Amino acid sequence: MDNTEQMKYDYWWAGMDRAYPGSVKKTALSAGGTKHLYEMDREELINLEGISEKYADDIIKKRQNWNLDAEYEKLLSMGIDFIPYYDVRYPERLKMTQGHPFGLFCKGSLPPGDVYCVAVIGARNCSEYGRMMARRFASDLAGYGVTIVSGMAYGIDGISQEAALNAGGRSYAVLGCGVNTCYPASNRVLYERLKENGGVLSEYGIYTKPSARLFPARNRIISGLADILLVVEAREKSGTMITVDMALEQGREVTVIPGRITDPLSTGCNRLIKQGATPVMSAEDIMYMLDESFDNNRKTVKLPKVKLDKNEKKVYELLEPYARSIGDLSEASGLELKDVICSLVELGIKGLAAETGKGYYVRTRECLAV
Amino acid sequence: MLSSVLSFGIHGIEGFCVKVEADISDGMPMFELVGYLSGEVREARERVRTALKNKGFTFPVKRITVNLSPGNIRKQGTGYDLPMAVAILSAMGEIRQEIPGDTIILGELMLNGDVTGINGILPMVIKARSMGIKRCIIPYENRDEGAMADDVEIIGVHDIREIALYLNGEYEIEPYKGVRSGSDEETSYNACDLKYVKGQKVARRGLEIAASGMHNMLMVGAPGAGKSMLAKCIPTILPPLTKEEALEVSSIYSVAGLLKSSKRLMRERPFVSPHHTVTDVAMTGGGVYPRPGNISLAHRGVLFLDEMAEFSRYTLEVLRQPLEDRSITVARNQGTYVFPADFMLVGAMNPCPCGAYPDLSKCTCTEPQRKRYLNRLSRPLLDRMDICVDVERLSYECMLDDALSESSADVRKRVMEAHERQKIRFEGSGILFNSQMGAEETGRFCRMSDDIRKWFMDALERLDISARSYNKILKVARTIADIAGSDEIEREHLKEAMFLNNSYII
Repeated sequence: MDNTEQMKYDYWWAGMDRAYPGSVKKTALSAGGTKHLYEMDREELINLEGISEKYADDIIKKRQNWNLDAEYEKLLSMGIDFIPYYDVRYPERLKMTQGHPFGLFCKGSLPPGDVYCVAVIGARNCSEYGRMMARRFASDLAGYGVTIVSGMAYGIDGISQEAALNAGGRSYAVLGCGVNTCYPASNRVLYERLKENGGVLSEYGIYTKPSARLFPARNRIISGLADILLVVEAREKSGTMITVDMALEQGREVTVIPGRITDPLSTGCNRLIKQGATPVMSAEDIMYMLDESFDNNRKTVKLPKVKLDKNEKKVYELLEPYARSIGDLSEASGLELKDVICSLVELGIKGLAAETGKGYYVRTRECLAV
Repeated sequence: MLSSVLSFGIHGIEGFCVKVEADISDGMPMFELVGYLSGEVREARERVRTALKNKGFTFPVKRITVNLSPGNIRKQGTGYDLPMAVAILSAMGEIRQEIPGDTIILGELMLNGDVTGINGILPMVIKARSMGIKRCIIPYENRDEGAMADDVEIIGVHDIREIALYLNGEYEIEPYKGVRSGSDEETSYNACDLKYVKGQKVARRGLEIAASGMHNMLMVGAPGAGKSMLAKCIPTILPPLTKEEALEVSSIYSVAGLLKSSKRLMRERPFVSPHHTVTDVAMTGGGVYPRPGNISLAHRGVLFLDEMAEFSRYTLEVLRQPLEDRSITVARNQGTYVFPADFMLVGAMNPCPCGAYPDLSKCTCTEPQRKRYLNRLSRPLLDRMDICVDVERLSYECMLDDALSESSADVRKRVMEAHERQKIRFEGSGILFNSQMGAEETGRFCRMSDDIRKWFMDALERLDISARSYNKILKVARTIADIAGSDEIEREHLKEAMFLNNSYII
């Protein structure tokens, strides 16, 4: 059997959408190849380890509606690469992990093996602090040539990937659905950019729709592709924590950005630190962990100097990455409401503050007030 | 024998004269009503016959024809009962005197012959006065409403016998002068006054600016923060209605049947707050014989939409045209009706479905949920809201503070001064307030130094504010300058206007 022929069978098998993708490869091996699986009758399928009657029915149903040649043609015509586990292009790091995917579907390129790779993950519903940190770490890491992997979700995922691309870096998204589906749809622009400067990966066939049950499994690919996991912001019980568990099982180092202990969005992070994860305060901290010989040529980060008047300076110093209301700022600064408003608008124009909710402002950029 | 009397009907909120003719002749006994009548007018036949009988008149066993002229306008309402009865009595010879041509008669009859009140008395009396009518005979119940229009004799009658005696000159009824006690200054304000509003400095300032330029306004804030209370205070800081405005507003309420309990013209600006389940027809006005809707009831006052995001999208979209035209045209197969609708739109909504955003430790909504919630207000509608303020939930400290804030009366003084400045500026230009300025007017009236204009353009670019918002900010800045008594727009006015812009939501 030549390679293309085998590929067609493998593609059929990889497109089987199972809730436990880890077993896909195991089953293929125990059957002695996907061609056999395709040809076995029901009896034989059930006799295989790990195949229930229902699973066997699924397989039979799937292959009845499947035209091997036409489907493979279609996949190629859509510009989607299928990389089975034995392919030389299959990412080495991922291959070393337990339960790695049977095959990867890919739009764009695959993460290069000779460059460091950091997975940045965190809450979808993140705070302005999380937003700021994701942006800062991802763009700094990308500046050092590090690849950023994440899940292209709302919040931290998307923000960090966008920041990496903006910094001229590479980024890869692992989806919980077929690679030709942009999920969430609002990240369409990011999705298109990722195809250009990185890639969009998935272990699911192109017909797989996004579904909550598929997301935990894709998280193991995110951590599997990376050397280090960076948790930006996470609630105590969240999908992010599932990824952390998987990363630990895979032997990945987990680094965490600490937050305030009263902030529910940082409870997960702080708990991880308590349990022994490494707190990091800058991208350089991560670089040292990746490479002991890392030579930081930007040791002292110089903050940009911005001219502010007395009131603006006072208000700026009170602003935080957490939203504060006008009334609150007026009280804390002892300034007249009118002056606070004028200062905030001026700070907004200078790009130092932004309105996140009506009447609520956050600090968006660090600077040295002069 | 033939006789006729004058009466009035209502078309939209405008009265029109109706001549009621009655003819009694020999022939088969019957009682016929003609004149393009709707159901309730046709039912008058039974009411008139029975009422006359019960007041001791002998209903003639003859052929009776009653006509309501002009015959090409549909007549509706129950106000024609009394004029019909009077016309028949006159034709019967029971009323011997000729009924003068400068008198109109309005009223509904009960079976026992008593006269009961009808809707729309005020606009009919006003219209009649303008047509040279000297005397209006109306139901006793409606006499306060009729007396709101000056310079016309109002005769309130109780029953059909009384009016017959009166018209025969056998009984005097003193023309009613209305309640004249109490000056115009005395206004019956409810408990709403800004002095009871604690804290909320930003919102109070927003309210003052909105009232000064008649800008539409959106309030965003957590549930229970006091958005409704603030909104209810708006009529107390707007100038009281002028005499003409009061007649106009009272007329609308009269047609809607909401004026019966009041003794005087409405002097306070209306505050209308429909529930969010309201339909688009209830909002604009409508029905088979269109009646004014919520937006017309809010004419010259405030239309407050609480929980604005919960209103059906369609109901909100119908507001767009009246916000531009300051009136609403309702077309039905009976005709086309124009209702005035010059109101200030005030909306209130939560910042997110749960109401806690941006406090992320409490807010349980996801980003898409929040977006979807804010998107319920369409862009074109938001473009018509010049001011957006946030209403903060009060701290307990602030709530327990007994000190009173600045009162509505004090704020109203500043608002009236700002209105005065606008009146002088816009003299002869067809607009009254800053909010009504179009692109051309903003160019003409929003003066500022070149220096400031350059700074402003630069700021808009940096803040990524759309060109659409440019005009809105200028209009609000103009109002802020008016409050400050400045002829030119200064930098700080622009800054405050930018802060009040709703670009965060759009």
